Amino acid sequence: MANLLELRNITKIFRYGLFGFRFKAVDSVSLSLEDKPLIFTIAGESGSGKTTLARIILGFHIPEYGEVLYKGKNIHKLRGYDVKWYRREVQAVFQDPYASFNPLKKVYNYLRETAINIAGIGRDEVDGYIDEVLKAVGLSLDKVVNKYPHEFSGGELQRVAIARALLTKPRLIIADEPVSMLDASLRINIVNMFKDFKERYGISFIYITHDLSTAYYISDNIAIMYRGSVVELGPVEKVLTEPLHPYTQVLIESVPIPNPKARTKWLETIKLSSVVEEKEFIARGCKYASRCPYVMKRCIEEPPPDIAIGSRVVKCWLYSEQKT
Amino acid sequence: MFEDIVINVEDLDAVYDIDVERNVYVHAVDGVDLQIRRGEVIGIAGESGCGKSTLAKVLYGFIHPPLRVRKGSVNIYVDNVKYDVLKMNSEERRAKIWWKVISYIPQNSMNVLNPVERIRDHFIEVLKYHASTVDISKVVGFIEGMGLKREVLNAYPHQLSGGMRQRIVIALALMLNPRIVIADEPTTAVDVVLQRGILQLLVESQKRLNNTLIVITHDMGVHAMITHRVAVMYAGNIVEVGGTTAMFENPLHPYTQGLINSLPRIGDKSTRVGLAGSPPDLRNPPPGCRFHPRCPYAMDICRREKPPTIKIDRDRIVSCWLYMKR
Repeated sequence: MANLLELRNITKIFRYGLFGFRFKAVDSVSLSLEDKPLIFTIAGESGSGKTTLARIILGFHIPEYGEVLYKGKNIHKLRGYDVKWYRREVQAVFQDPYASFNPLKKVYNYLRETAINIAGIGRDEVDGYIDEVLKAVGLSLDKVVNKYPHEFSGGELQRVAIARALLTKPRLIIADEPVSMLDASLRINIVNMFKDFKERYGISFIYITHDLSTAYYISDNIAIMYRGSVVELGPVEKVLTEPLHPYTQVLIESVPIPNPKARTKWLETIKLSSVVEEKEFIARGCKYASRCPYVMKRCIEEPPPDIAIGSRVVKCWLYSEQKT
Repeated sequence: MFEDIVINVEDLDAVYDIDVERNVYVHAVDGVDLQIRRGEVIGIAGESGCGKSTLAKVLYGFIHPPLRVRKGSVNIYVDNVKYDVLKMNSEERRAKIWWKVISYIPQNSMNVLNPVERIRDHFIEVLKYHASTVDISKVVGFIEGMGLKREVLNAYPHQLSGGMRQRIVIALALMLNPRIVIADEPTTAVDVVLQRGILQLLVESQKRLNNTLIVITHDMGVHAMITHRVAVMYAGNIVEVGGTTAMFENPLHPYTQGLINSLPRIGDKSTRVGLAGSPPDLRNPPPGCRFHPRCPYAMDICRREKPPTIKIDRDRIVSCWLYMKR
């Protein structure tokens, strides 16, 4: 099957200061999304490069190396009509809805502009169309029409942001930490909506998060990132219940479980590291080596290869003999 | 007073003034009663804006305008001495109870250190004020126990990572062996591996010092992992208090039920449903039970009258009309 989206060896370099230190925020990342409705999670801690990767896919950053292909076209080389086509096909939802909307502008104006300029809806049909889309997120035009962003609660405004993204009938939505600002009792409603849109409208999602529990709940595939690299990739059921990479293993063990019976294991003492993050970014070998309990000489010297094991890929020397 | 109570909160009511002349305020803590027991780890749960941090500030006596306590009392009982927190002024609180009797790890604690002071000076400052001697070698032993190297004492805050700064703040809070420690969202901005490490550190020191730890967080997973009891707050009220295990097995208040049942778990893809609506505006809270607009079981009486606090057993209380026996 042809791929909807393909990332080939993406590398993005950032610098600190004028002559300062250069580091790879994203380091040779390759991913692909099949052309069928699915939810693909990119998970990682702060500083893992997941947001940078999202911004590259959206075209906000241009990578130093590698290319992003959407339906076979390099999205950083789009011109003219194709730019608008890509804006219509690929939409975004961000973490903080209050930062996504101009506080001095009524949110209805955003919806109207998106519907007319990008989705190409006629002026006389636009209100009916906006109302229909708002109903899909549990709102309606009369609840929204005269309001400024601060008049909404966080959960409501995030729904408006999602409705705005839906207006263009996108094929793919990039959702960067869409629920981490929301309260627990509201989060699940938003992620349920993503699941529903995938099934009902055939929209794919790239769900960027640090929350592995919601990632497991909604996604089909997952990529775990660490310091700019994808360390493990595969079906979510496999990666999160039988993790292979030592980092994925520690990550999953550390998630607090809402069940007091799991407490004893979770409280087994772990050692806190005092590793300096900057050094990990520029490490020659595996970036996880300074924290890894299984570290070998080879890990420090050479970057680990991507090793395919069954349906997944893991970037770790521990599995190099099992290479198929 | 009961022997095992270390903090007794009675009928506490605290507001944030917005417009004093027109009597507009945010009613952040409304009629809260809570007994905190000696040697326990108690959690205060609830969503943002439910009043849990305000409650923590009042317990600690960190009360500055626009925060104002309208009524109620907070009494601390330590070493056979009773401290009436709300009757003291700031100077008395600083001299008599802060750091030694009760200490407070604020939210965003990684950003509370003074950027132009070395870590060493932070410790010296606290020791000078509160202890008779300043013994830096004791401090070294203390921070090494937290997995930090002694060199960090000579560093400035910006030279340390967020996790290291957070451990420094925890070390400061625990240094004078306080009998009560309040940790307000101690791990919200850190990644999960560090979160686990920091919470383990807090729990271990609680066991070692045999003191009382009050953990305030919205993360029900954290409560399940470390607390003995949980008090759930909603819109300024405590709606349920109970043993952690019992509460997770059988949450009674509809809000607690919604909170616990909406949490997805790794390894379980079954459909979960969240609560409808969103928390009320506390400038103008709904009449009766403050949860009634979102409650799936709301009855007539819930819209009219505040629910009573009902004692289910020794450990469990719930504030809900559903449990009122007729």
